[in-house]
Amino acid sequence: MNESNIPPRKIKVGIPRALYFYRYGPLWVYLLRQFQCDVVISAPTSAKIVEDGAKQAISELCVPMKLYFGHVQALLDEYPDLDYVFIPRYVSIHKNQYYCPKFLTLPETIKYGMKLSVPILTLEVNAKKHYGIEGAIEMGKTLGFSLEDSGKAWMVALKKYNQLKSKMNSSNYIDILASLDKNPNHVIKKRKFREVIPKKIRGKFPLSILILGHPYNVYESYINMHLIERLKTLDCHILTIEDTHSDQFKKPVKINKIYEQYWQSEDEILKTARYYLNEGKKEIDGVIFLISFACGPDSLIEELVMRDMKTRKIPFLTLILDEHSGESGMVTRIESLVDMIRRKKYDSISSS
Amino acid sequence: MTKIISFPSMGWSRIAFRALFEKLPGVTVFPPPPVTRDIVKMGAKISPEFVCFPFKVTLGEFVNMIENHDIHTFVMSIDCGPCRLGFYAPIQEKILKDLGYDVEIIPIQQDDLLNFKWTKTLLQLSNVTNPIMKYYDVIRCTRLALVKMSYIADITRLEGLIRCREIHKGDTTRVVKNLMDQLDNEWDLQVLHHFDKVIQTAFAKIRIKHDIEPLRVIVTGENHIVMEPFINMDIVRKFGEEGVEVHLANSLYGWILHKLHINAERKKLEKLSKPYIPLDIGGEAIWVVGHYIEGQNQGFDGFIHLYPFTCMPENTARGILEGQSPDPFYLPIQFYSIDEHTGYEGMRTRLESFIDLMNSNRQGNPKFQNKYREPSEIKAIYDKKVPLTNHSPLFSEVLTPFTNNLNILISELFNMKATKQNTKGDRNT
Ligand code: SF4
Ligand code: SF4
Repeated sequence: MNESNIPPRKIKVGIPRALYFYRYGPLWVYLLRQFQCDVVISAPTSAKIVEDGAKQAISELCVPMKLYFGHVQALLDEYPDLDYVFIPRYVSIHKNQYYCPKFLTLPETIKYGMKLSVPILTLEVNAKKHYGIEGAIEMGKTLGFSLEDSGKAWMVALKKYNQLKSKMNSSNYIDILASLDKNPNHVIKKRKFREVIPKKIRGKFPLSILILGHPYNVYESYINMHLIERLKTLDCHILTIEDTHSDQFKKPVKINKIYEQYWQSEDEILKTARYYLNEGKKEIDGVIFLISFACGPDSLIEELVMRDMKTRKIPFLTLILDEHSGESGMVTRIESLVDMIRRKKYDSISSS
Repeated sequence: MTKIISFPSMGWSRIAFRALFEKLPGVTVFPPPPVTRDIVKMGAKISPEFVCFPFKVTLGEFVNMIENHDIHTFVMSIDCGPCRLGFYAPIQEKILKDLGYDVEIIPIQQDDLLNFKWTKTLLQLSNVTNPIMKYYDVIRCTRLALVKMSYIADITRLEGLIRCREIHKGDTTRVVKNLMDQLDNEWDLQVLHHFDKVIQTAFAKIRIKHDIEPLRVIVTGENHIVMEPFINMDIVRKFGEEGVEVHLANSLYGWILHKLHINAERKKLEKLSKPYIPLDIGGEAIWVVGHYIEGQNQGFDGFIHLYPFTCMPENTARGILEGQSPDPFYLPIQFYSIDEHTGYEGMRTRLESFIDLMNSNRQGNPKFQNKYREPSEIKAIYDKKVPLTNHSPLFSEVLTPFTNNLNILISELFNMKATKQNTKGDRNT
């Protein structure tokens, strides 16, 4: 990347490591690199970023949004020579669906909410208006690329992204995302967790737990307090939306006879839940739903999923993430959940 | 057999909702009782914790009507825009059924009223078999609802403008209540077409202070909160009693016109707010910003933004308005984020300090001086030299109803064809 002394300096674009970075991050990085940009990514979430975000954003926003503010701030602080901040606008990728309203105006929310002085580079994904490629062409125009070049860049980036996506699953997701960032200061140090299960019986009573939630909650280890690793120390096998076979995402979800669901951001959650409520019921022992405090879509979807899980008698735990939640409380809750499930599962086997 | 139905009240809007169903054969309307603290509590208890407040309130209203009035069918509007409203009805129905209630919530589509999906709900409720008569009823009901809606908007607008001028405290409130009752019980379309005169005469009887320059505020925000006085602590009345002229920006009529794509006012506001919110993100966000800019340009003294706690679009609007203050947005603004925990006392204290702020601006800040313009309605009602109405009788009595009928009939005819094709299509798939 850092070839020395090439006179025309590359355009430097910063990506906040928050929200849909956890889903489309690789795509953005590939696309921006196709556009010959020098791509930098904000540092992994830290206490300071959380604090900055909470200060900049209004208090009622969901945690992921506050983090977004914090990450934009972190970018500005770390890279004063930034040419653009990349803030995408995800409206819909399906004609009848919408993303959460907060994604629809993300660029404006940041621009006017923070009084941002660095210009914003945006990519509009709006199936109601145009194809993805047109959004990329618009973006290319800002960077001074011709229609053909931008189109080509999009195709290449998309292809690479799709290849990568098919390889990503819950165990390598965090690492793959981290590898997009070349800054040596941003290496995420692996935290070591004490193995909770004694060595003697480790692996003898395994469980599989499905973690539902937005990718920016499930893979943001700082804010979910390393949920995945912690569950692993409890001898749990983890399943997430990313582990679910892509066939499950093809059929649309109906809430009941009349209502189609129309939220893009919740679509994959509902579809995954549907699979594990029916065909996949045997593959899981329990479900943890990570929701953000003050998240609009989650507040309703969680209710739906919870009620369905209850009728099928699948153990279910909701963890609400906010910037103040304490670690010990969460640890107790997941430990007691896992304990309860394990007892139920293996007691019934040993007694029969 | 007739079906007894009801719906959430949303303040005076219940009159318009009632008008929409009252004359539909096969349907008996039970008018929803006004919202109370107990209703809110009931709703909050069984709702998901973080859902937005209107969900809890309407759910409470349903439970109240099921338990205390034996009503089991409700009509609820849904809107599959980017926001939560589209999920209200199905999840509320699910919650109620899980609690063991026998209940049916019939959705009425309001995404885009020009696709006439909403007529389906009416057609489905009607028990008339002759298709022509069936459509005739639907047209009639729609007309009744639209006419009443427009008068509700007129009355509430005048209420906000006149209360701050009344000499005897309480006159305006009384007049408004009487007018609304009268409107609620009037079913003759010919009489309704002249109801504007009734309104003007009634308001003209209130004795007012003339030639005053009261503070002017815009009150707006999320529709349900703004229109349901119990929930917003009757903020319009509070301001009025403190001598502040209130311009209520929301009305059901305006909303419906917008959904019919003929609300020029809203189109104008969208243009104003475009740099800040380039597309409709649900709620009122885009118009809130528009109203704010317009209010600032027109020299208003203050702006009140009401919204449910955690409301997504309104919070987006708030973030932008707050972020741009005081430059370029200098119009004083106060936000009220409302849920079941909101206290009346705290709200009143804040409101009073806001009035103080506006008053001191009037005295010491040139941006707010000599900006007052008296609303034209005041002259129209109280200046006896101007005739009460300038419609010619030919126009209001003959032509308007006639063209109204014609227009509605034509669109209905088209629609009949369209629905026929649609239902065919449905069967094929
Ligand atoms: S989906 Fe929820 S968590 Fe995500 S941005 Fe929207 S409100 Fe926030
Ligand atoms: S606009 Fe606000 S109150 Fe209405 S559904 Fe959306 S979040 Fe809820």
